Amino acid sequence: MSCPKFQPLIALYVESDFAPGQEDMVEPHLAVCESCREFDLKMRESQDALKTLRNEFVEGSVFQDVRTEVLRAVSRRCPPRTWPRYVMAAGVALILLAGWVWSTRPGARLQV
Amino acid sequence: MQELALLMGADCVDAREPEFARLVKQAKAGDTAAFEAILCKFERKVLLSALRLLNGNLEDAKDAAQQVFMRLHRSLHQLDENRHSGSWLYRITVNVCRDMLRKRARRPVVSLEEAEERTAAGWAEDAMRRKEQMRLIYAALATLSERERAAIVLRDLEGISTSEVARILRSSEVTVRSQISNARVKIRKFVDRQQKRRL
Repeated sequence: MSCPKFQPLIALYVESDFAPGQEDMVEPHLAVCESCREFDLKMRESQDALKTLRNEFVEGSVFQDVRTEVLRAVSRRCPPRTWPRYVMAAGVALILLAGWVWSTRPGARLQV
Repeated sequence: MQELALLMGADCVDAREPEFARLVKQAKAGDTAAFEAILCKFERKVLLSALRLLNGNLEDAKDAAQQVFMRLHRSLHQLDENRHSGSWLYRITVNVCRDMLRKRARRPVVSLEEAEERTAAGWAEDAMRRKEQMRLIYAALATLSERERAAIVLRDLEGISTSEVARILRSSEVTVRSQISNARVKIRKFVDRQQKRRL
């Protein structure tokens, strides 16, 4: 059995995940503790095994399925809630035009 | 970024950073093709992360990926096209997977006995060493808490730095380091027990 106190540190040591200043804690101990050296080796093995998941193969059709479903759902929904700039500009122009037409209508000055 | 481009499918747009900003802008304006290109860019990372967070269940991972991209579409107007959206998507993926595990009343943490039975049965059925190893690792991941699993998936499988993992999980680096350390020790011990059972 390795030293319980050092197990969590070795778990970080094998992937160089130490916080600054912690690096020097493990190596001197590993130099004198055989069971912790063994734990270090086993930890590296299980990390290698864990990383086999990185190479997991997923069929291209799976991604295609996801994409199709998302795009179908998106097309059913209304477009994103952002008004293109030109629509906003057209709205402002329309309001200004209406104001100008109103102010220049026949008889508008007489009322004032 | 190059890695992302390489990972993309052949039919996807080769989106580099300036291209990505343009795509986000177009998608915000309602351009579905631009949104599809964004989807292509991130689908692999989102789906594979979901697969690992959901203990290797592909159907659940597909559901999760769909939900993540629907949320992305709903939030497009909030997205800053000049900032990398990878971290945001990882955060959403972690949250969606956590919600799925909770909603479906699945126990996120599988008991050790249950996980060990699962792998023992798997060994009898499947002779392929590689598949066995993956099954063993998925079973080991299933014994972790949600937070530990999220931390280890992001750090060891996605290769994200500890500080970035902390940002994604809205946690501190110290906490994330502790979760990663606990998770690695648990996985090691689970593998040990399995190896002893096989002998």
